Amino acid sequence: MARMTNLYDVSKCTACRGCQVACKDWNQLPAVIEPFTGNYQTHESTNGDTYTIIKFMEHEDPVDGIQWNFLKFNCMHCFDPACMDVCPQEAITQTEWGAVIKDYDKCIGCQYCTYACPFEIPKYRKREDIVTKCTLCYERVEEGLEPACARTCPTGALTFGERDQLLQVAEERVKFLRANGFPRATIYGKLELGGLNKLFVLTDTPDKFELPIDPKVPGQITFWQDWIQPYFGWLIPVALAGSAVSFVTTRILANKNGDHTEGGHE
Amino acid sequence: MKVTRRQFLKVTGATVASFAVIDLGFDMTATASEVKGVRTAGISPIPTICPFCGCGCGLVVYSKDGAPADGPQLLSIQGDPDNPINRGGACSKGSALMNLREIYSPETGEQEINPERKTKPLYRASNSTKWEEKDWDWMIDEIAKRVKKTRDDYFEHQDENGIIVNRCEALASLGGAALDNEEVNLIVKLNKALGMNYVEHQARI
Amino acid sequence: MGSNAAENHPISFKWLTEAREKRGAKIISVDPRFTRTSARSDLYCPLRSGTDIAFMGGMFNYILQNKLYHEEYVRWYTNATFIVKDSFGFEDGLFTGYDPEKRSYDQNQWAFETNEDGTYKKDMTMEDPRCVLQIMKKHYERYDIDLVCRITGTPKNKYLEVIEAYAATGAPDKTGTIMYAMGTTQHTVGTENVRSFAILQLLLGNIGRAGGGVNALRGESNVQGSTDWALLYHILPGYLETPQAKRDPDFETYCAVETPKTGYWVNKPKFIASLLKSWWMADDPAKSYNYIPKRIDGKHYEHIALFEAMYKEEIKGLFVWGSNPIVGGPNANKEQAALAKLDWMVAVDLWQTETSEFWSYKAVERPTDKDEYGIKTPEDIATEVFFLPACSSFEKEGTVSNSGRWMQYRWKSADPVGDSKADLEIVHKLGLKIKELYAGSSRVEDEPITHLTWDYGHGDHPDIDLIAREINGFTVVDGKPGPQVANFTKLMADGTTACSNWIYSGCYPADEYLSKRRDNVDTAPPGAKPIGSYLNWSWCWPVNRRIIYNRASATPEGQPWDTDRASIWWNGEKWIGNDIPDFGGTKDPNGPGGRNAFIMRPEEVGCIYSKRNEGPLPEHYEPWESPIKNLLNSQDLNPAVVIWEPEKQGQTDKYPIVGTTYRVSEHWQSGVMTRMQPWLAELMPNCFVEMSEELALEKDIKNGGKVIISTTRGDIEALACVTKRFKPFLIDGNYVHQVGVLWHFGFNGYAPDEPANRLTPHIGDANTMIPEYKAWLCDVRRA
Repeated sequence: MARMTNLYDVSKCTACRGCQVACKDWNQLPAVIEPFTGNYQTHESTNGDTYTIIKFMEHEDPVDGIQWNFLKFNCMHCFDPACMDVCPQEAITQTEWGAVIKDYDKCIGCQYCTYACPFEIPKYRKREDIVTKCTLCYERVEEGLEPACARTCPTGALTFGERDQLLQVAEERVKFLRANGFPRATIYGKLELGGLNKLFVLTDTPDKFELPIDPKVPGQITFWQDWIQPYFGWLIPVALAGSAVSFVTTRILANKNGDHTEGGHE
Repeated sequence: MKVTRRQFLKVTGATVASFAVIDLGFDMTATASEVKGVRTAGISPIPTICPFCGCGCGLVVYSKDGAPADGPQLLSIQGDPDNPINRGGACSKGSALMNLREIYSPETGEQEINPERKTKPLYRASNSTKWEEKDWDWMIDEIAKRVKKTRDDYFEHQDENGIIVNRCEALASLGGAALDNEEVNLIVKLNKALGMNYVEHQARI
Repeated sequence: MGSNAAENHPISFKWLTEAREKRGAKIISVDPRFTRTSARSDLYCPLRSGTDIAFMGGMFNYILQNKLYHEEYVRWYTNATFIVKDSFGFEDGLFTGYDPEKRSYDQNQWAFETNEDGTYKKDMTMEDPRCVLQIMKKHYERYDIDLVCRITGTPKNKYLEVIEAYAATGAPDKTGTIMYAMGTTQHTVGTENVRSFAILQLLLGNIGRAGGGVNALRGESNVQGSTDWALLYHILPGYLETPQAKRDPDFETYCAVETPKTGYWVNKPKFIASLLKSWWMADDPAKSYNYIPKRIDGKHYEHIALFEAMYKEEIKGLFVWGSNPIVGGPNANKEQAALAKLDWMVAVDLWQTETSEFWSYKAVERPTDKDEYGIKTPEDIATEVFFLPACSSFEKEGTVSNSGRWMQYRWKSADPVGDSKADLEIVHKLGLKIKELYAGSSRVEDEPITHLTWDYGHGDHPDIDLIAREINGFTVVDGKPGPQVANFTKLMADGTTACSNWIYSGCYPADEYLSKRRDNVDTAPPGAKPIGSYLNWSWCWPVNRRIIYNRASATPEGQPWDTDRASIWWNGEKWIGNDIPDFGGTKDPNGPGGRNAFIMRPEEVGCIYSKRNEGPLPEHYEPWESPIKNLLNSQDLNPAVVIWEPEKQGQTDKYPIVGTTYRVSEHWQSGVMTRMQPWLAELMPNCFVEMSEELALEKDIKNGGKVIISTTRGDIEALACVTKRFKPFLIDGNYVHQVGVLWHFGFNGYAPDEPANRLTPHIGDANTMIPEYKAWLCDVRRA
């Protein structure tokens, strides 16, 4: 079936952050109150109880004057998700329409996915000893509803639909923006990492939105994916010696022994 | 709660045919994935209007049938897709409306009544350092007595020119810009019957 | 301009975005700093706080000199053609008739010339040097682009871009709209700021038309409705004047003095009589008129005056209905001190507002503040406080009226938390109890209470349906409510009808409370385009009319200026269209009065020239606390404002920085709702002060670091938000810094912090006395 995705057009976003709160309402997430640090953006990145944030970035140059750029930042739902590849518990799966989702009953909080993600999006939630992230509201989508964020967006900056169609919309929009004062307007997510199931229309180059121009899966992750995970079972004893790996495996073994309890990890 | 929902349907009887609070959706054809269901499935949303700014956006409240009155009842509050003002949209404040009643605890993740909500009338005596819980009857009795005493002590029936003025300059009323029309209709009526000229609200500031 | 719509009215930006995407509209943001609105605008133009009239005056000058106004519209629908008496004059910032002792004007000197039959003298060519257009042209000649930019600190190229873009809406087939909020009103010249927007819109033919207007973005969900209901000292429900003792000693005099001879307000006696009847049904209006309290003629009762009186111990008892003045009121330290002088206070709210706990240790402890009112402990404060827990908006039912006057119903969708109750039930119980205490009294001074009609069904919770019927109005039959009236045209002055708010009459004409309607189809007559009227969604006052003064949407002959935005038009027999005509439905455009588009005015035209306390045309005056002398005239301050605390005027030697207050999208007003909502506290957890990188460098302030802001009224601590979005202003050759503080914070909730209003002054506009929150002098230093 067709890929379904969010298109986020920064040129229409007013950073009202309705999406950020609607996400909490739908996903039943507590508030995470951290002190103000000099930017409207109160979290540096996503966290265990915050799947999506709006980033605020200021730029100034003599020609364009001031730009105040906003970016809705959350899971990119990569076509080829590194998080899924590294998950030792196979807790992460991909729906046939492109949402990268997680079974929290299987997640053991090993946090390996957090290191694998090229965008550092999944985050550890200590309360339940799991790693969480945006699910593209797959349970809503499968009922024929839009994700909570797209549903609430007042200005039409966030839309949801079939990726192929949204890509056309995005391409038209970029053409329009380039002809109307944004010569560097571009699409993000079309080709990055082989394609993201999340499309962006940017009014400027990705670096102006704190997005990596050429995102890459960290090297050691590729190594894990290609070489270690396939042989995971018999590597365990060997891996026990290695620090990061031992961290993971200890916990897997603990879980298999049935003594894994919620919130028991420090 | 059930009564409320029926009442809503009853009062909208005349327009119920055109009333269709449906979620903003799209045609999700031929999905092969397992349908998990959403927690608002089968719940009729109740329309309300956002209590914050003056845009007048429509919101819909999904609340649990039969939940106890003193506990969490809300499932979700979202923009009203039928309302022509916002067409389903909601900003951060509108999207956070549920927090006026309920929150998710940061410690346990459990849904609970917002602990900041005050559930009992409170009285602070002269020179006291603390609140005391009181019941409604006591409060209304005591307030009415204070109102009567102040009015009777400071009331001017006629001014120095013999003009009937019926005013009490020692009583004042502030606020009310977030209240319903029906409520302010009664407040202004009572204020004026008491002789208040000092009636002011948020439009002045 | 004067609003930050993307932040404070986010949904309004839905429609701005749509206008831009679908119609190619341009969005202009005029603001002292670059905001979220500016970020999504086509053109951003800075100005120093408090210089709006200079900015607008320069636009008037450019438009008049270059004849860019909508000439036919101006000729027929405004008072530009009226001849002004030669007693009118203006010199160096003062109009004729000024009394410096009283700080007020004899406004009769600015009157229009009239013919013998009482009609106004006009020059339809608008060339007579005494006609309003020519007087205006002369008045604004002084506002040349360079001088304006020296005052406002606006870059000249940006200013010209704004003028040219906006003046283009003077074409008959174009419209422009101005969205304003408290950035416009909260000045000593607030009324004239708004007037200057109205003048601009009249010049360009943008009033009464779809896509036009001067749009007040209301800050509270029912500030419109509660203003319509007159929770303000100067009016009774439906914008009827409150009586003053000498001016309006009895009913007959009130009707004679307060009723104009022309315009729709000739019906005023019907409205006041019906209001009186709804309050005291058994009494004749001529008698019950005297039950309404009469003001002392000329006395000030505004918010600032109220707190000054409270501070002087003139007020003993106070009700606070969902309001939080020690955070939201100006000069909050003084307002807090004033509360301590009350005998008793009743606070009704969902939460423990800071105001309800003004007596607590949290309220009196001040780590940074000088607090000249004397820091007290709770033991020093004798005020008794009654806190009544109210329930939230979705735990009760009733209607609210939005900025567009739509009266929309809110259904109940959850139970009130704990013992909290709807305000409706609270006021109902109070009313019953007070009536009970006075029952049996035969004293004539108690008649306003003993005779009060307070009959809303049995039980504690009143029957909202009965209240809705009272709002709509009904015929009084045998001293009891009879059938409802169709609308206010059926109200009578003889005491046979009752209606508690005439402008809402028609909301419940028969069996259906029209505020509950939910048909969202936007209909239009055959062959016409719909314009977003949604006539069957909820109900809108007056008589479901969505755009008031819509006669001005059509040419003098009665055809749409622009078929794309046709509101109403004349079909040869009657007015038809997309809206309810604001005009006699069969009034021929070529017949008598057929072009009088502004029926609520005695002149029946839009007022370019209109008597306000400081003059008939807006003139630039500096804020009370200003970094410079007035460059346009030698009056620095608006000559008609009341100065409450002359000793509190800050000077540039100690306080060289312009300060202003504002809000953010994630909080609301004094924050008492949103600071209690963890999801919103998360988004904006602290009070911050925005400042330029230049100022931060000068003061050695780090982004995110603690700073102290001080004025003559007090000090607060806040966190610094050092940003490229605020720039120093080049004012008359010197750089002037401006900072902006969020005013949402107080000591309670999930995001507690200090209230910015401890900094703001007790001085207000010359007409409304809305406080000058938006421009004052301060200093900032590292904490």
